[in-house]
Amino acid sequence: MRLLTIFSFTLLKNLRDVGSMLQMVLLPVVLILILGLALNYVFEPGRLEPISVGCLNEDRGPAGEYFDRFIYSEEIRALLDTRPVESPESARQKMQEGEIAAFIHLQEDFSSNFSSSLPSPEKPALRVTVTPGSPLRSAVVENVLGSFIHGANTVAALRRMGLAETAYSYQGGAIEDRPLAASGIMPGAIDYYAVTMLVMIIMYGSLYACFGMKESYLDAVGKRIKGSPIRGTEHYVGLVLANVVTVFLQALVVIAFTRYAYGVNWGENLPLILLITFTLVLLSIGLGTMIAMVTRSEMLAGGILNGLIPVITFMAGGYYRFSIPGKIFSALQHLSPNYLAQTAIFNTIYGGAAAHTGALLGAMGAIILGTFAVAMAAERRKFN
Amino acid sequence: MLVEMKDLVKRYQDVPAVDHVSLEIREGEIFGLLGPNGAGKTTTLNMLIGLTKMDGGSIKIFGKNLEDSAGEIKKQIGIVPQEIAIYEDLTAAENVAFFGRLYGLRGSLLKERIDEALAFAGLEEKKKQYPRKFSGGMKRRLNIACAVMHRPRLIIMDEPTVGIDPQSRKHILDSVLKLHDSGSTVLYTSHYMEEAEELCTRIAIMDQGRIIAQGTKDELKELVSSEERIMIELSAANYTLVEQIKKVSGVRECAIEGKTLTVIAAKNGRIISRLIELITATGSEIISLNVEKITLENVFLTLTGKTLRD
Repeated sequence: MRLLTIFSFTLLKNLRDVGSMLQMVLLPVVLILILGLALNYVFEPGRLEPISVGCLNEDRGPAGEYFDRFIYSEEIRALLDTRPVESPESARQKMQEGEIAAFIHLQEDFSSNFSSSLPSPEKPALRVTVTPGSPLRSAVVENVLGSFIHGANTVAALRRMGLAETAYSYQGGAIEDRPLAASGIMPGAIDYYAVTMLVMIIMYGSLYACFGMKESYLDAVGKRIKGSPIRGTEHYVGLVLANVVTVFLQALVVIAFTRYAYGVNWGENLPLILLITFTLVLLSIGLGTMIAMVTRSEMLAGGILNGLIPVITFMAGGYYRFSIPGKIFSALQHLSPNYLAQTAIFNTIYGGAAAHTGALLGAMGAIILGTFAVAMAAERRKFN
Repeated sequence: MLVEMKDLVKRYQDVPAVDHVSLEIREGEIFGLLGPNGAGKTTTLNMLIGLTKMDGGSIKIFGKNLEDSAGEIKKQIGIVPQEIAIYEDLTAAENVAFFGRLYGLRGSLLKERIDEALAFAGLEEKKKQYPRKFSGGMKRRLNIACAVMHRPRLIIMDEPTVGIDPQSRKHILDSVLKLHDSGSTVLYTSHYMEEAEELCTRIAIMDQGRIIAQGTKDELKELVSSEERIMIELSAANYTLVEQIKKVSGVRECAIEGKTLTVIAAKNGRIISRLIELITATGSEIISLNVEKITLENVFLTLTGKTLRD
């Protein structure tokens, strides 16, 4: 019952704190709207322009003729801007200068090798060279050529089966047009910032633990409470629970408001989103409690958290989506609570692997245990 | 005995904050624990309520060992901490209710005691107001209301009148007497000797972690009754005169502050005559001369060589 007293009065105090409430609820709601509108262009799916490709066709046989019809057809030109080159050396030069992104070389023995009843796999007759660092462009070139190879393979197979009169004939249809809908599959700006601002504001919830534990556990009121017939665990758990419930309620308001007012996509699996949110709230309160217990100074603990949270939010792409170069920074980014929670939420909304979400929740759980263990050790150190 | 402390020891990195303190407090008395800052009063109180671990000794309260029955003992203790320990963002009534619930009060009894405690503190009109709008004295009174609402057998008050206006101070001192009249035992620490003289039935004087004297007011005064304090205001004074006075037989101490000499000497009419002779010989005029009645302040000064506010 004494735990309930600590819990209910602390919750009442937290909910009455209008300044903090506005900061925790109104600020993210406004920021989500501003960032969502201002940076919407960054999140719109871009148009894929035809890729410049150099081509050297040295095969004078039927397959070579077929290849020319295929590669210079209107259909393929929508994807590949193919330009003849004089030699492999000239193609390499153009690739280095960035004039072309890939080089396709159909060698002179391509038709004869394909017509042979025993084709030699050691003599690849179609060579493709792509510039590194552009997996999307490489994939497009490889897929287009894959379509050509399928056709050529079919003809070769029929000929080997005795249908010698079978000819190469390209009649189009190598590309099937399947429009991709980005909505619901990738986040728009407002969807993205709803998640990152929610995560950021939950991390700021650690300040409740920091100031609350200082006032009600370490300072004069806390000492007075300890002088009453309450058990230490009731006192501690009551305060932690009240702070957890305060921040979780604020997070629920942000989720509900952004879902119904802004139409933010929180996905179909709301219970899992709420579980991730609750886990992050526990982590945030654990972090605040730990820093309060270790520093025993409201000013210092508040300063540390107010400095740390913007940094980890930035590193996790909370303000602007970017990739961090370098192994150390990348590792730090992957360990930051914001990154773990954001990734788990995005994974849940946009159909990522459940096992990955589970691993992220596990990592957050480990951090929670660590923060509370350090907080308890620091508390015991003081009681001497 | 309501409280028995035996050989209490507390050290911080080998420096003794409380050094073999033994005290006994009887049921129904107002016991004063006096001493300057750093004397070890608050550390002693913290050990008494289980906030600080003892390095040695034992504490029995209500006949029970504190270490074995802390929860049961704490139910019957009310604590008025030195710092104001209330929530600024809960109303006066909510603050009292919060601490009342921690002491196990519920329902109609809780409501009744909230009203009673606020009336006791003179805050019944302010029950729905937040303490952030209160004066320092009102906050101190609410601090007391939160400690007495469960009608404890023992009330521990750690300097409850620090930094408040005279009206609130008088209210608090009257409250302590009322609590005493209602049967509560009070352990009262203070810087102010006059408060101890007014309130306490027995007093212990603490300095540098040790109890240097304890007893009733009269017993303590008796300890130093063989000496008196003579204050002499002069037209001019110098250190040569001070050195001459110190050499007079029976004079234990002589100090100068501005043009006023303070002399602590054995009770003896001849000493005053000798002092007047020495002063006249220097050509200085005596503007006033007072022989002070023995107070607890004099007792403290005599025993420790310093004032309570040092």
